Amino acid sequence: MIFKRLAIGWPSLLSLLLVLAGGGITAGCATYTETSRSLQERLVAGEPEQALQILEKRAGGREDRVLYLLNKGMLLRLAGDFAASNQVLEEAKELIDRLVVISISEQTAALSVNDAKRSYIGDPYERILLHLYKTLNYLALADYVAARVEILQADLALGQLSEQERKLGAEGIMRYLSGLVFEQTGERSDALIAYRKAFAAYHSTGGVAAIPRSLQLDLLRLARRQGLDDEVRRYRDLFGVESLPDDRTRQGRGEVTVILGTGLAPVRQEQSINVLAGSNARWYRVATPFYPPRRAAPEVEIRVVANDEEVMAVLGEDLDNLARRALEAAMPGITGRALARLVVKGSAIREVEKNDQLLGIMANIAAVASERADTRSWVTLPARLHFARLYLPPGRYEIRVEWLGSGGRVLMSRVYQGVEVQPEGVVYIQDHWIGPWAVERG
Amino acid sequence: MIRTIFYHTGLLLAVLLIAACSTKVERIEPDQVRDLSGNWNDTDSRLVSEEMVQDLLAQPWLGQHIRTQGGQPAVIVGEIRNLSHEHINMRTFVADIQRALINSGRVDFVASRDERDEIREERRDQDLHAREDTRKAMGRELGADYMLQGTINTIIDVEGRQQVRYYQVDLTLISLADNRIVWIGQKKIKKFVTRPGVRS
Repeated sequence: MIFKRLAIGWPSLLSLLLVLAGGGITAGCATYTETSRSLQERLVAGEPEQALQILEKRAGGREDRVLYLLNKGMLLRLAGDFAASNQVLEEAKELIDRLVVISISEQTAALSVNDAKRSYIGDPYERILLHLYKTLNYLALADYVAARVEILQADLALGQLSEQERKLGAEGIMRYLSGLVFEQTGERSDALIAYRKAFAAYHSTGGVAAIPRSLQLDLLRLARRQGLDDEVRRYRDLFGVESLPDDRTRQGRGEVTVILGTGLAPVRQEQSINVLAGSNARWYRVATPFYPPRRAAPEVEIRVVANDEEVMAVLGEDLDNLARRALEAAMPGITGRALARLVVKGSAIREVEKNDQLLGIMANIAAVASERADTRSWVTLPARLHFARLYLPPGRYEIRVEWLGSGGRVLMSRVYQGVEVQPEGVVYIQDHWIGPWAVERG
Repeated sequence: MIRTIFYHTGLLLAVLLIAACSTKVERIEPDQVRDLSGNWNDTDSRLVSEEMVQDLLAQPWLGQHIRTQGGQPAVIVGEIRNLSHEHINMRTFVADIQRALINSGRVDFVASRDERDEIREERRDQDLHAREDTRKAMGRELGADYMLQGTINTIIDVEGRQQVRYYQVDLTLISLADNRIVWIGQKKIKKFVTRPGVRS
């Protein structure tokens, strides 16, 4: 009887196996959303080491390897192990390099099972942030030569993005950081070029208002130093700067650069449409990813205080907003593939049904079960990145960073003691405050 | 039509599953050229160091030094800065240069700053613990006459799947006595890399 049932010819059997295999693999495990949430919950609790353990347990398959490495790199960084973080992120980078090439088998799987069967290579902005975080790690390790290598690689990577991708490529903050590194290595003209590119990138996304105040002052400072009077005049008019930042106040002073992450990146969730239709009552399902609307997360401001000097940190990049815009831009492709899958799976089921009604129903169940949204994204990133630069006379300082809520209420305060400022030297303080409001439960 | 597509998809997946199962290792000679990604590799490091040291030893500064100072010069390798797009292992490159210079037998070679610190530590230790007739005294080190410094720069041009990778290695030999640059060497490498269009 069974043999008779199975005597349905190779093509039909293969179709069935294909659909069943996909269903079998995906039906048991949910989408990536659950893993993302578990990681974020540990981070909110201030336990990056535990988050690492969860990540190791749920490393996923070969197609999730890059995402695993990205999250691991970020968690190691949060745990303070910058060297290990860079090792892991470098591995991710090399793997992405190999995986960006289109894979025939994965495309086939994406069109016959679901999008999550494709190797994760990250959105363009995530690939740029990979360079950004490697650079920050090298700065934390005081390896400025390697940081310089990394910003050159980021420049290459940005150059390979299309116009549209660049607008969603976190270019502003990457260029700004490149300028900081060039200043660190004493290459002022390269720094000015990087600041100009940062200016153009921020400007293209939100006009003059999107250009961080400190970048405006950096542009003015360096343009003046190079004797570019026309450029200085243009920036002064554009930014409405009355008195020029006096470079002489920097002489003999050292710098403290504070780079702060706040909150956590949003988590993609699945939305689906399930329809029972047709003369033979077949189930149809289309699943796509979405970001739930941002909860009322307080718009924080950050104040950095050193003795009697204080400065407000500027917003370098709103990664939460960037993630949402990137998904929005990718939606036509995602929906197109989902609809194509509907056709492919439908044909496969019809093929099976022709020979056996029961197997047809099984194939239908498998096809519906395997239709899952690709909810993978780099969720250990912060929601926002802030920068602050302070120029201080040489000495030993206690630097206080305060996250301010509405009405200037201090939500969180962290103190960094014994910060040694050398003449003409730069000290980097990097931190990430996740805050209590981060994890969204759908 | 659909039948054929599924038939072939199934076959393709089966083949891929089988093909992905084994790791193959093949031993090759260290001097055998095998370019994989187009990045700076051991072959570049070896070829550049050998050629540059050959050029260094063929130039007139060496003869002049022997004539005026009456002995072969002592050289030290200073910092060779990596200004390229790649995380290049500068230690192997510096080691290749040192090896080529020492093996030429035409210059004396002085240990680098890190190595010197360890050796001085050992001398201090000998002062306390070693037998007098085997003890090595402090203050009898050979001072270097010249320092070798340099940079590795890259220009990379990418268009789609193709890229041109251009490396330029600049080395200068500077006299420690009077900051005179006695030799400048330059070596360029250009690679044309084509990446595959599809993968399995």
